Amino acid sequence: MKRIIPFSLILISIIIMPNLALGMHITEGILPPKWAIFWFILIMPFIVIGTLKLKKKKREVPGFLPLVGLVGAAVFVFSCFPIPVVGLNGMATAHPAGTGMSAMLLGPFVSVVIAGIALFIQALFLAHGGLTTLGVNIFSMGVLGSFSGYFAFRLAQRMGLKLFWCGFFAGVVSDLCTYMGTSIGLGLLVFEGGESFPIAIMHSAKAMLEIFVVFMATSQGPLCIAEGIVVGFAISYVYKVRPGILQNLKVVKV
Amino acid sequence: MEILKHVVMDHFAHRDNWLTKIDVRVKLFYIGVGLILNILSNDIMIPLVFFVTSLILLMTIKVSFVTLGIRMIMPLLFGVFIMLIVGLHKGETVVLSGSFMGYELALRKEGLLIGLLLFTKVAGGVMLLLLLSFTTTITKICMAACWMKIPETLIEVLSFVYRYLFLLIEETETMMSSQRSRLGYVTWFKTIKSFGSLAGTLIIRSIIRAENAHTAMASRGYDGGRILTIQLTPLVRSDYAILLSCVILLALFSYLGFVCF
Repeated sequence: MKRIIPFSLILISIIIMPNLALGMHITEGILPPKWAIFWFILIMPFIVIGTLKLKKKKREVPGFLPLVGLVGAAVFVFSCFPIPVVGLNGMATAHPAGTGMSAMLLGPFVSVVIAGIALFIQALFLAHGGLTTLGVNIFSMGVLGSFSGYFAFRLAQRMGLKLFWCGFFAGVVSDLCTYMGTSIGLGLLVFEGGESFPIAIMHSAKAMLEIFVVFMATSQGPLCIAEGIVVGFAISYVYKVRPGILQNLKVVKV
Repeated sequence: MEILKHVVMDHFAHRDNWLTKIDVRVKLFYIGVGLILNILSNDIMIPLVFFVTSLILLMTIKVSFVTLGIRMIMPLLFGVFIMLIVGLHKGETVVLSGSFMGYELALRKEGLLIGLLLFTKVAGGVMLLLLLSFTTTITKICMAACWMKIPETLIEVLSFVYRYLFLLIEETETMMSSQRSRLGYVTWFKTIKSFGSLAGTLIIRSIIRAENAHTAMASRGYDGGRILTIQLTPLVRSDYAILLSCVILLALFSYLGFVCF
């Protein structure tokens, strides 16, 4: 009994923690230097290509940068919507990733840049995430979130699904992939150089799976669906009210 | 939208005090080196020193414990979560064990100690970040980024996002109040639908505003170039003195953390 009570407390903490900690951002100080450098190197090509694409587009369309900035700000605000977690009767809220939406509107590479900027602002002014963990956070939210959301949207479009369902799949897939990225980043923390490579990978994979299950079993599983529905409604709403916007951004064909 | 109220808390950085007067490059040097030392440390000493010194510095400019507590709570809870995860996967000596739905779980002493180190690194690192955010405006950070030759396009987008964030937050809150008064949040599905139309309206408004902003900027001579009109002044004697103090302080912390312990 003495062991059961503290152990139960730990389990409850594990289940509640991701809700409170806005689990999608790995906080400052968590990553050892080798992993911090690794993630920065990994995301660098995406940031460079994204910046070059922005520069090129800026030359072609002079008003493109204000547009990217404004849409980036809108997606930032969207990512702070307090969506109630369905199973907890509104007792807890979770926040969408938003990268699926920005990737749909501006393309995946520009969306990576937007995500990087949003994460930088969040690290400084909300104390969510951090500067040394910016690399892994950009990888999970920016790279995985944007690319998966973009390709899910395009695939759904090719399959001839309605715009709502295209948005829905973009929202769900980008959110799932974002959490998968965070789980990979955290799971690799238990990777030990001293162990043989297969064993170290196995330990890390086990930790990744556990973290992903904790995320999904608590708020993030229902949130994926909720984010999908919100993105679906949002994109259909824009199409209904101002179809020209989506046509100009080449989200839908004329 | 409670979380967004914290963004507005950068008003601390607009205050006039001895920390906000320090040149942004000096502050970035101290925070940057501090963050690197923080993640390099193998002992809880350095993170704790950064935590305490940053706390004392913030106290001198009258930042309340409550304000800091609100900012610190989420990262610290994340730190506890990581401590438990590492405790479950690393080490040999089991201190607590049990099964959960047929899944064997055991907390190990060595893992918990590593987790404790990570927890203190979170505390130290986040406090260093808070020291920067409470004393430096985003405009100054953009100016420093310009000085560091960060691509102008990135700085422009950052400036635009930050400039329009507050406007969009205000508009969102107004729209949310209107939706609430029309019973837009009474059930879960209605809430989701309301958020959908809110997000859609936000996109439409942001794009219309972007067009208007560009027209207004173009009429004032904007041709896609830099939007920061202020530039950093060269470092003066007092800045060099503070920079030297930072170097001595960081060297002392490193000596204490890496050599003595």
